[in-house]
Amino acid sequence: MVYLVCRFPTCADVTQVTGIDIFIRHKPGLLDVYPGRWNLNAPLKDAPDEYWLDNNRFHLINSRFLVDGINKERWKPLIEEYRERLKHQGWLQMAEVQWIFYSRSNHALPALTQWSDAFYEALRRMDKMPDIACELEKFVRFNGGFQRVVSTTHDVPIGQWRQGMSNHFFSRLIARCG
Amino acid sequence: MADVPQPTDDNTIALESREFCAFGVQNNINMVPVDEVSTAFDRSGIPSNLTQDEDELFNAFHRILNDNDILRLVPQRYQPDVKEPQVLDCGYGTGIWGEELMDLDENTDSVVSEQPLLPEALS
Repeated sequence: MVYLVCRFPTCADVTQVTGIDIFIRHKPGLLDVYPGRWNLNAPLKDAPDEYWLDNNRFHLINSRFLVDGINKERWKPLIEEYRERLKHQGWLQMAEVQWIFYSRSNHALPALTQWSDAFYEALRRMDKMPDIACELEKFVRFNGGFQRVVSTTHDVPIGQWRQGMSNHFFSRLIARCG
Repeated sequence: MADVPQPTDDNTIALESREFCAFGVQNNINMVPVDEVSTAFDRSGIPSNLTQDEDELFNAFHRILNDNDILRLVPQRYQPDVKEPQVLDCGYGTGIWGEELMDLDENTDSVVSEQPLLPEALS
C-alpha cells in the first residue's frame, strides 16, 4: 500500500485505499493512504478510529487470502461487517485458495496430496476453515445478505517450466535429484 | 471478541532460517514468511537457494489471478458517477492489488471486468 502511493502520488486523492493486515512494512513518504494493522478476527467496529472503518463508507471491498488467518466462526460475521461498511451499490469481491492438486495427465500426486492433507489438518487444529473457498458463495448470499452473487472457480497452474528450458537443464536437474 | 489479540508492531521471529511475522506465528494467524531473500539461480536456471523472496511469490500469485481475470473489479465500471471511490483492501499483502487499481484509475478506459458481486439494492 505504501508502495503504490510512492509510485502514483497524484492518484492518492483520487482513489483512497485503506489497507488492513496484521503486518505492515512502513516506508517513508506515506501520503494519503490509511494502513491499518488489525487482526480481522476481531470486529471491525473495534478497530481504531484512525483506520476509518466506518459503516457505509466504501465503494469497493477487496478481501483475499485470509484462509489461514480467519477463525472458523469468524467468517460469517466478517462478511456481514463487510457489507455494513459498503455504500449503497457498493461491491464486495473475495477470493480464497483451496489447495487441491491434480494433474491434467491424470498422474497421481501422492506427495502433494500428502502435503495438502497435512496442511488442512494443521489449519483445522488452528480453528481455521481450510475449505472456506467452497463456502464463500453461501456465506455471502445468506449471511452477508447480498442479492446478486456470482461465484466462479478457477484452476491455478503451478509448477510450469520456464520457457526455453533445454534438455541440458532437465538432465542436470535429474542428476541433482538423483 | 474483546479478547482477540491485536498486533502492535511489525516484529519478526526467525524460524528455520526464515523470518515470520511474530504476531502471526504466536497467535496462529499467519505462517507465511515475510522475509525478502532473493532466489539464486545457477547458470542453467536451477534454483541454487531454496529460499524465496516472499514478496515476489505473492506478486507472482497475484499475476496468476490476473491472468485468470480474478479480482479485477474496478469502481469506475460499475459506479461511473463516483469521483473519489473509497476502497478497503483486507489482507492487502504487498499492496499490489491496490497498486494496479490506482493504475487503472488513471486510465479509466482500460477496464478489465470480472462479474461483480453486487450487494443487495438498498433503494
